[in-house]
Amino acid sequence: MWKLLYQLASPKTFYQLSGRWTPWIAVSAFLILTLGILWGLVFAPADYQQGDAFRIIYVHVPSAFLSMALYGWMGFLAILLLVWRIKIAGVLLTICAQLGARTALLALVTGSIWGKPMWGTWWVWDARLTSELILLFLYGAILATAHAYQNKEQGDKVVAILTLVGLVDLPIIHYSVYWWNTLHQGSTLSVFAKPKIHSSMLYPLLMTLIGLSLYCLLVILLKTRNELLMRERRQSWVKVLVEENGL
Amino acid sequence: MNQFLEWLAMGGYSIYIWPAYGLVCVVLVMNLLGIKWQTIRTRKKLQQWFKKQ
Repeated sequence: MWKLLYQLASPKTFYQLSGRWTPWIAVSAFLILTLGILWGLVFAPADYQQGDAFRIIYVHVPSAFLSMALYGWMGFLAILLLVWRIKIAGVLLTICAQLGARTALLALVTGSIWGKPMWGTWWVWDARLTSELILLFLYGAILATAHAYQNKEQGDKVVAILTLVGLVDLPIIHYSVYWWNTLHQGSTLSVFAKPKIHSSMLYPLLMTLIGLSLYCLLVILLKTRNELLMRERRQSWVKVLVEENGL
Repeated sequence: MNQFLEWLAMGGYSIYIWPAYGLVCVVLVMNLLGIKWQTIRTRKKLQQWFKKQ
């Protein structure tokens, strides 16, 4: 495992291995996501209080989970870049931020659409909603910083520092529903506690969670491959790829 | 047919559910199309760069 991770830090190995993995990840992401959504929309029973409106959970929870998970992952990448100077972590940081911004936006918009019929309002300045909005702004700030630098490697370091500073928002989002009396409901899923949702509704949720995670992995790998080729174009392996295979 | 229409109506919440799912679908597909476009552009840029060298 460590050996594989160590090898992945080399751009050439990353490019070769990810090329082999992406078709499999793409197929499984598509199948799992489609099955999960169909199960959630067609076969899962309606909620006894929220009726069919609860079905938004199958897109809202996975997007919200990934918006936070991606940021947590970025924290790890930032440490890899700043402490161990692993260059590929810098490439991954900006790409994860692009995806994180999209998932945070999806979480906020689908949540807002869910809020209107259930709470009677599109938006409230509730602790959970506000801290998630701050996460979206953090992603925006990170992306703006990354774009502002001509020298990408220098920009990566500043992005890494910014990411570490913003990490403080993650526990605030997670615990907001316990620390404050929020309109937003408590967590449906937890690693340590029994899920607060019946298995007929839980399984499709787990499937959409896994499916969207695989989709994110796919996007990260594909984008990183492109970015690596551009950044490493002075290296001989890129030259060989372009000259021999035309890419 | 009636059953299908009933399902589409989503117990009266169709105006909330379908836009939410539609938006997610559009964002996910556009993202992939963006990558496709980026791949083509990267390939062109690299080939030009190597020609200049």
